[in-house]
Amino acid sequence: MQDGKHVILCIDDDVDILESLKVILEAGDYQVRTASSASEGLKMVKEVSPDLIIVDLMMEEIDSGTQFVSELQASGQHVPIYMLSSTGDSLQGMIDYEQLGLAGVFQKPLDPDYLLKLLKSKLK
Amino acid sequence: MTREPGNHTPIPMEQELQARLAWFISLRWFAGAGIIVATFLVSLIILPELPVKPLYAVGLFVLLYNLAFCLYLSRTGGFEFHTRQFILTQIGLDWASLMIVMFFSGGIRSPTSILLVFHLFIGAILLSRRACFLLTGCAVIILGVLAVLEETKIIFPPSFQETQQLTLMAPFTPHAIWFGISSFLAVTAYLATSITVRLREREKALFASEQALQNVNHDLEALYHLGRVVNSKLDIEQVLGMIAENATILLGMKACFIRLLDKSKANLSIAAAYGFSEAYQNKGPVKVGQSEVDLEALQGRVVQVLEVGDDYRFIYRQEARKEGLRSMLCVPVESMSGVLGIIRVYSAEPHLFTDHEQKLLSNMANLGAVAIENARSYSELQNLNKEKVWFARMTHHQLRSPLAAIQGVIDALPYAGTLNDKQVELITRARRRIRDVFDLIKDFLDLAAAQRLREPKTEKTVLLTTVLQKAIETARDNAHSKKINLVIDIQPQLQLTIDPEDLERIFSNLLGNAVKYTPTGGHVTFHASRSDEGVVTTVSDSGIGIAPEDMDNIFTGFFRTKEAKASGEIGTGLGLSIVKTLVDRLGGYLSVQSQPGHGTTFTVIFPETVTVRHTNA
Repeated sequence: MQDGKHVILCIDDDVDILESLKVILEAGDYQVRTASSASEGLKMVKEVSPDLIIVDLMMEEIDSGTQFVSELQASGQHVPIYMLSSTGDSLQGMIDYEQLGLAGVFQKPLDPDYLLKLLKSKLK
Repeated sequence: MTREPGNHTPIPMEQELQARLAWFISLRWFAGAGIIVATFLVSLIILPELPVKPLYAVGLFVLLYNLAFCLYLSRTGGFEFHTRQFILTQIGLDWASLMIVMFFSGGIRSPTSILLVFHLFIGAILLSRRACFLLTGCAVIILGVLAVLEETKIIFPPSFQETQQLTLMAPFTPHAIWFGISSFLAVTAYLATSITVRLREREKALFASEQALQNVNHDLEALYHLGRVVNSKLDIEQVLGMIAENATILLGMKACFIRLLDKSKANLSIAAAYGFSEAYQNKGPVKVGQSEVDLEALQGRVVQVLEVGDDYRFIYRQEARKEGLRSMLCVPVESMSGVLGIIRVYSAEPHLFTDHEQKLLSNMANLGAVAIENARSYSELQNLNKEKVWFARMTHHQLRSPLAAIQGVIDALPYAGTLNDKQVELITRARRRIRDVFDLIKDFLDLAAAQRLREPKTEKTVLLTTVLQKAIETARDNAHSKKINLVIDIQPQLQLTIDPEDLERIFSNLLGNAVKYTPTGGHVTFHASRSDEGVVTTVSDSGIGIAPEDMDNIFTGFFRTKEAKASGEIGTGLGLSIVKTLVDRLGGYLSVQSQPGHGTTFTVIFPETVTVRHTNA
C-alpha cells in the first residue's frame, strides 16, 4: 500500500501495453509501477513491495513470464501474480497455472471492465 | 537370369533330336519284326527257295540290338541320347543289317534296295550333310560290291536266279541296276540334306530370335520394375544403388558406378557403385577435365573402351587392371535440365558393346535422371514450403504484438477521461477494424498451415467429439447469445485418422460460419456419422444462404457474398478457402447446397482409405 492505495506492479516489454494498463488501473484508483523486463521486475518487487503483480507471459525470451514467477516464489515473496497471455499461445495447455502458483490468467486483448472487477474483489 | 557369353548348342534342337531318335528306336521294333514276318510270308507264298534262316537271324539281330539300345538308354537316363557315337552305332548296325538282308534276298536285284532310301532320309535328319553324303558313298560302294558279286557269279545261294524273274529289274545288267540305284540314292541324299539343312537353319534363326525376344522381354521387365521403384521411392541413394546393381546384372557386367556433377559442375562424385572392391571405390570426386571419357560422355555421347588397362584416356589404368576391369561402356545421365552425370559399366572380359546394350544402359541412365530430378524437385518443394510456413508464422507473430498494443491503447482511452459520444463511436469503429485485422492474420496463418505438405506423422486416430469439443463450445456460446438452436449429432465413438488441428480448423470455420450467418432464432445442425464412403459430416443452417451465382466463388480467398457483407457480421473471406484447401489435401469431398434466405448445408466426406498426396516414401 502506498498513500492508501494498493500498489500494482505491471511487467511487460511492450511500452504501449504498459501505458494502457497504467491508464486503466489508475482509473480504478490503484498506484501503478511498471517494469519492462523480468529482471527489472524482480528488482522493483523488492523496492516497492506491490500488493499484486501483472506480468506478461511472452517477453523478450519465451517463457520469461513463468521464469519470473518461479524466481519470485523461490525468493519467498508471496504476492498474487496474474499472467497476461495471448490467445493462440500454445503454451496454454502446457503450463499448470496452479502449480506455478499463479492467481490467474488474463487473455489478451484485455477487457478493462473485467480486469477492474476482478482486482476489486481480490484487493479488498 | 544372366546372359551367357558365347553360344551353346541350342537346347530345343537337341530336344527335337532326342525325340526323333526315340521315334527311330520304336520304329526299329517294326523293322525287325517286319523282316521276320516278310521273310515268312514271302517264303510261304512267293518264293519257297528263300534262305529263311539267315533272314530270320538278321531280323532277330535287329530286335536284339534295339533292345540293347533301350537298356543302355534306361541305364544312362537318356543323357547319352544325342552323342555322335550312339547315332553312328545305330546307323552302322542298321546299314549292316540292311546289306545282309539285301544280300540274302537277291543281291543287287533285291527289292529291299528301296529301304536304302529310307535309311538315307534317316541319315539326312540325324547327321550333317557331309556325313550323309559319306553314307551315300558307302551305300554306292556296297551296292557295287553286290553287283560285282552277281556279275562274277560268286553270288550265293545260286537258287536266286529265280528272283530275277520277279523283279522289275530283270532285263537289266547288274551294272545298269547299280548305276540306277546309285543315281537315285545320290539325288535323294542331295534333296533330303538340302531340305534338312534349310530346316535346321530356319530352326536356328527362329531359336535365335526367340532368345533375343526373351532377352528383350527380360530387359523390359527389369526396366519396368526399376521404373516403378523410381516412382515409389524418393531416397535417391537407394534408387541409384538399385540402378547400378541392375545395370551390372542385366548386362552381365562386373561392376558399375554412377557419378553425378556437383553444384559447381566441375567435379563428378560417386553417387552409387556396385561390384567394386572397397579400395577401388574410395577414389573420391574426379575433376571433370581430368577424364576424356567423362568429358565426351558429358557432351551427350556414348563412349566405349575395349581395354581399360591400356587406354590412354584412363587415369587409373593400373588400378583398373588390378581390379580386373577390361572393357567399359559410359553413357550420360541426362534430364530435362541437362546432363547430370555419367554411368559406367565394366566387364570382366574384353567385350564389344552392342547397340542394344548401349540403348539398355541409356534407358537405365534415363530412369536415374528421372529419379534424381524427382528427388531434387521434392526437396525444393519441401524447402519452399518450410519457407512459406515460416513466413506465415513470422508475419502472424510480428503483426500481433503491435496490434495488441494498438488495441490495448484504444481500450484504455475511455479510462483516461470522459469521452463524448462521437469519441466513443470513433473508438468503436477503430476497435472493430482491429478485430478484423486480428482475424485476418489468424486466417492467413491457418491458410498457410492448410497449404503445407501433408505430414503423416501429425496424423493420429482421434474421436471427433474430443477434437471438436472447443469448436462446438464456442459455437454453442455464440448460438446462445443469438438464440439459435444448435443441434450436435455425432455418432458415438466416431473416429478419424487425421491431424487434429486440421479437423478443428475445418469445423470451427464451418460451425462458426453457420452460426454467424444465421439470424436470431434460427437453427444450426451438425451431423456426423460413418457410411460406406467414409465419415460423412454435414453442417446445415437456416441462415442467409448463398446465391447461385456465388457458388463458384465462395471457396476463393477473400470472397464474401453480398448477403454475408449485408448481414453486418465480420469475416475475412478466407474461412471457406481454408476449409477447401484442407479437405482437398486430405483427399476428402466437399460440397454445398443452399437457397438464399432459407439456409445452407455443407457436406464434408472424409474417405475411408485416406488418399496419399505429397508424402515421403
